[in-house]
Amino acid sequence: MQNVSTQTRATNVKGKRKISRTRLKEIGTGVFFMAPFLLIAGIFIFYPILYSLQISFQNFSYLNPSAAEWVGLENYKKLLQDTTFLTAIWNTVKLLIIVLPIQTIISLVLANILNSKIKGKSFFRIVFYLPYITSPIAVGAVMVYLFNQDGLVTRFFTLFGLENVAWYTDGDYAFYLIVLIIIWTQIGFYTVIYLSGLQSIPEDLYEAARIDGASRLQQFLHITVPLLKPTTFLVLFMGGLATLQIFEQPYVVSTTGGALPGSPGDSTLTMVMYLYTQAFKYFEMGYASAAAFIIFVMIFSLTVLQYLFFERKNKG
Amino acid sequence: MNTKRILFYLVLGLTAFVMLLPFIWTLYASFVKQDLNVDTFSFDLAQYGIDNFVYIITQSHIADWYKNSVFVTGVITICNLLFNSMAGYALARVRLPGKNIMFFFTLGIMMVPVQILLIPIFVMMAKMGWINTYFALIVPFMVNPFGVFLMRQFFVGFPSELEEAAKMDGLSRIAIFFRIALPLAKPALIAQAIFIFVWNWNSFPFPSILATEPDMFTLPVGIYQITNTAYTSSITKSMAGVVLMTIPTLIFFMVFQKHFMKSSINTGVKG
Repeated sequence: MQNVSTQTRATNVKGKRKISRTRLKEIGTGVFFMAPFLLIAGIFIFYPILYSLQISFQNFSYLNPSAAEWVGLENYKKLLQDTTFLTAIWNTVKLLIIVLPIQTIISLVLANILNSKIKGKSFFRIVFYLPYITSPIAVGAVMVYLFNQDGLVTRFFTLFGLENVAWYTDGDYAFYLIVLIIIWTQIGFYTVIYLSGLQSIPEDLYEAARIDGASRLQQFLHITVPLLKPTTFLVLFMGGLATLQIFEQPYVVSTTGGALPGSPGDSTLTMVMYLYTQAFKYFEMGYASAAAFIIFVMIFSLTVLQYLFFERKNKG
Repeated sequence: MNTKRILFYLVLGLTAFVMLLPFIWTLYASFVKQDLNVDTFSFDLAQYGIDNFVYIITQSHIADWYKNSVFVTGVITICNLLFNSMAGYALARVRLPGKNIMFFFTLGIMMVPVQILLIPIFVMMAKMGWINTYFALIVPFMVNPFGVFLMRQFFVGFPSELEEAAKMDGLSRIAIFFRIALPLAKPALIAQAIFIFVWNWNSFPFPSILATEPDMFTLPVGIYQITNTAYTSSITKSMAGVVLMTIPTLIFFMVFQKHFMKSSINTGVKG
């Protein structure tokens, strides 16, 4: 017994030394593989976040960074009293409230139709998806002209009693132009996500329901909708993130013809547009950084909400 | 049942029409010679021509923008494929101390909205004197946490027997990665390439602040200039620019269309 254990110990020591050499090699390999990512992400993502936090407490001009003045919470205080910023938040929230339900319902309906026995499915899928991958800058520019005075779509809408005006110059219309553009851009993507959710529902559930005499509508309400709950949440969550960060389309629409971002009269100003304008038009970098952090907190809260939802769902 | 089928086709057809209309109109407008005629349709062929394209190609820097966009997006995509895959492989397969921390670090920065990075990256680039250089347009975007995440998920499910066999044959870990793991990761690499390409090809906020000279613009920044009066306030000429800009995205999409659908579903799973 004694003998055996000494023997194993001896090989152990020998083996250990050998393992630690291979182990060292393994660690070296790991470091080699991780190094480019850690280095670049560290310098261009991680450090900038901390830097941005620092700038948000300063009166910072990029023309003269060394003259940056520490002003504490001043930027944040000023922001929360800045009616333009509050308008930008309100516009963004309004977009969220209007866009999310509409695009979710449309995507759900389209996915359901595509999931039935229909010919040319892949054609429709491709066509629906197209706007999602098109440059938002190009989309914004094209929409401005389609919704111009006497533009193709504007003229169509006059049939329903809407005015023949350039939508982007009219305070009442400009906001809804943004709404339409966002929905047009996104529904194809969410339709594809819904479609994959639908295809994961086992067919025999519907068969059982049919045997029990459930109508198509009942099947939809009692099988499809509840089983798609995770997908719906995902669609709402991703749509929420995209809307909270919306920038390019309203920027292009509002600056048509050289107008100020967010015009007419701040009706299309969104949170990120405000940040961008403050930073790169007025060079109020500290102020804009504070705005960035407020946006970050809003987005982070949404992420936490989603996390909590999924946790509860997993437990329940 | 039959009326329902007809209704379904009607809804799909109508939606498809709404989705395609802006594309069709843009293409149409880009061939109309006179701005005044853009909102009317005419059978008079003399009204149409390629003048707008000629104007954009000769009068703007669009050749530079193409070159810049192709070069910048190309280098970014290649670097991302390499670096993200290396990191994803290490996180999935290599026994490394602090691996979990690094994984959470990666997940964490995935949640950061990019807008927060605009100002600090601009200031850093200005300090380094990189504004209006390719370095500014490329270096900060050479890695992407989502790409790392995607590759890690792929390599976690990678069969270890292959690695064992290669080790028996005396291959080093690095050789195993480049000669066995990476070539077998083709589906994941294609999914990743699609995302990185489209994101960066369409990217506007960063290039718009990192390049201020017209010959350093990327396509989105250039087209924004065209549509916003810098070169022309002509609708038809702007639309010619939009067409030229959109063609590569459309070709790319058509070629990889199947993978697009698959990878957007993968994004969905990301949560």
